[in-house]
Amino acid sequence: MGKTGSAIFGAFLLVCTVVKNVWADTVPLALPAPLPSVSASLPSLPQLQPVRFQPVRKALPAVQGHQLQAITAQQANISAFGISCDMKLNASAENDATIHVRISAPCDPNQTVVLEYEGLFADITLNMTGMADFQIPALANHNEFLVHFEQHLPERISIETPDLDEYVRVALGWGEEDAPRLSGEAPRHLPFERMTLGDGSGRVVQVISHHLDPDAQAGVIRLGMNVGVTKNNCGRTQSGSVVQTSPGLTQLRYDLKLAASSCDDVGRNLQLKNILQDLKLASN
Amino acid sequence: MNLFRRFLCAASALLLSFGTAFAQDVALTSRDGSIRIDGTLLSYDGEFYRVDTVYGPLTLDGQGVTCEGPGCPDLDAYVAEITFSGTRRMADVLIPALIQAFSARNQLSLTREVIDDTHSTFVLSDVDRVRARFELRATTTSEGFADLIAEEADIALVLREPSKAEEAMAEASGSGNLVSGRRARVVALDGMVAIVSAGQPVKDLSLEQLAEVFSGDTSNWSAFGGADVPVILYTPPATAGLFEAFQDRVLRPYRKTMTEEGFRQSSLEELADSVAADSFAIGLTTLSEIGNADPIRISGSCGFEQAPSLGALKTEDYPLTLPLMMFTPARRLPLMARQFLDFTASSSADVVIRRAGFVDQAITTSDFDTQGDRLAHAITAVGPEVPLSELKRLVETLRDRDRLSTTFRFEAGTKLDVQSSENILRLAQALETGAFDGKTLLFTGFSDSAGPAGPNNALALKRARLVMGQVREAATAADFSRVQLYADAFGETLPMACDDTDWGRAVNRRVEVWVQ
Repeated sequence: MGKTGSAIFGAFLLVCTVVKNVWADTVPLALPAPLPSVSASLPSLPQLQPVRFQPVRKALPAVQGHQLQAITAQQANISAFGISCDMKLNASAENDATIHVRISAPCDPNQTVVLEYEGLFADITLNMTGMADFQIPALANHNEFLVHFEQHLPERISIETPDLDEYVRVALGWGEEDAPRLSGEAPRHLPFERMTLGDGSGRVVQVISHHLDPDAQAGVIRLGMNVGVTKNNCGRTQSGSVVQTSPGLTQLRYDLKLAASSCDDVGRNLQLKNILQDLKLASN
Repeated sequence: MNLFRRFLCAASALLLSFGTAFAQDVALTSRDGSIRIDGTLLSYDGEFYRVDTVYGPLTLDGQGVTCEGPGCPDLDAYVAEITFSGTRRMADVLIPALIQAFSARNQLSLTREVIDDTHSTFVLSDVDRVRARFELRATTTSEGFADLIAEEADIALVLREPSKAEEAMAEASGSGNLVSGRRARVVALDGMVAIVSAGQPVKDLSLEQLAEVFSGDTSNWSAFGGADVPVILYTPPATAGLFEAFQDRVLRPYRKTMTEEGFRQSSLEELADSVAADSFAIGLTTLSEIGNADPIRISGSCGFEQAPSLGALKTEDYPLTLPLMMFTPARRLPLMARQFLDFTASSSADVVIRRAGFVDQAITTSDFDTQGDRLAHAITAVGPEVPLSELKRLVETLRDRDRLSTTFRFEAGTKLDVQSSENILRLAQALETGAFDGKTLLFTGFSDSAGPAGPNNALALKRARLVMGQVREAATAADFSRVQLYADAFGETLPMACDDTDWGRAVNRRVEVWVQ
């Protein structure tokens, strides 16, 4: 039976149930009119037989209990937009060693899911149709993505990015609100991109990416962190992780914990220039 | 018996004074029960107990004894605590990078707890628990020595050898002799360099000219062949080891001192960025921190020029090398600290050092064909003191050999400098691992041209034999039936720098190693 057939049959069962209830309770069809305020003689009423509703006697197809459960579940597996609730996670390698990730969870609209990648976490809010669509700069040649849902098992997908060797990248992931901001400074001949993944209200991943140009001069991209002391992060240790990837070198990965700032310093901006290793680029 | 002997042998030298009043909080008994020592536990490093006893402080191998008493440590919960203190040149980038690599190599997870920009703790853990905490304080070379002497640091990060005053202080406080034994290790190499912006046409200066600029005696670029514009001077923090080293090696020989007129920068990163953005500027920094500026080559009056390249630093051909050193205390460090120190001298660490922008000490080779510039200088040196026949002999001897990056230079007479002392150990280690099996190593002495050529050549040969002997002595596990060592000398034949300055003569007095 198709989905439309299932829906019609479900509606039929619903009608039958209502009719059955009406029959069983023999409720009056209408309330009596209010009595007139002036007394008058009433004509005598004829003797009437009470009205009885007859139940629909059409025979229902024989449905076993377990089949009914399956039908009900199937019926519930459709989103408000008529899309199957099946969750999907797709990823495709794009130019510039980036990965296009698409999350589809039609029955979890506006929900926040957690993307886990290379030990970093970002909170992603699905749109009203339960979709999210974004690009991530790759941090490894072999990439594994794990999406954690609130009420379902996680979804996993792997993908290769062969052109990562043309990039130097540093990613910084934080677990709290008002996270420190990754900053980079470089001369004009060493352009870099800064990308942020996540909604900003929760876990975010910030990435600085530089495309290695064989004709470029040597130089340094200075990396730092700006920590704005707010009422959300003061008095608390902030935890994060760093992943750094450079061609021909083992990926560098470690965790960071920033000591709690005093709540008297709310509004101040702290600059940490020596915690992240600058990207030193040699000319070829 | 073995355990008993180990137990006795492990009881080490007296480190602190007698007479301390102490509670008997531990009793250490040898495994066979024949020896028992009571005392106060001073420390346990995961391997050895250090106990204050009636005989003075003793160090006992934990495997040879059982511990009883309220002071006994929980052997399963031991966390090695190691404190590093010293120059920011090492603490900012190099040491964090080495700790990260050490942690990954030992399959330990790493968390860096940042207190502020100059103070962090690295927590190394395995799946079960925390194994070590490495505290890192970025201060200065002087503070590094002071912390080491005061036992507030386990490892001092320094850019120079200790001063006489620091040596005396260490002796007086019971920290022992800082310059004897293996208390200093060269981890990596850096160089003092003057930098200018890409837009500044003057790219080479002599050491004397550098002294004139940084003393403030010359303040216009036209004095060096540049435009008639003022020199804008940027100088490093006065507390930096770099400042002291430049003062000692460049300014003092010309009886000058650093001017107060320049823009004093709080960090070398700021200094490099400021210079890169100003065409009139010149600044003093290190090769690892030139940022986006251009380094100045050191020129000599006779036409020699030395660029501060990685190769020239490794061979010490560039005159202003800056060895980055770790000084350790006289006492035994925790096992994890010793493993870390060993790691810093490994080939795995060499990769990390290069990646961090410093020069590693891995032994590399360059063939004879790449010595063109040097041979050109050699031809110009031919004269009554250096006959052409000697130059021909040099070419015939070295033509089929490769030069090792390992080069030995001398502070005075036959005393090797600190980088060369480390090179002895590096080369010995390579011999022990069989890296040169089936080959011959030729230790080749060279001299400066001060004085007559004959005695210079004799002195060069003496130095070559001395170095060869020290390498042979250090390579205790090497199989010398598989590798042959020879010494030869060519005196003044192959100069690397002009001999009219002290630094030029120091560069020329050397022992090179050629392999075939």
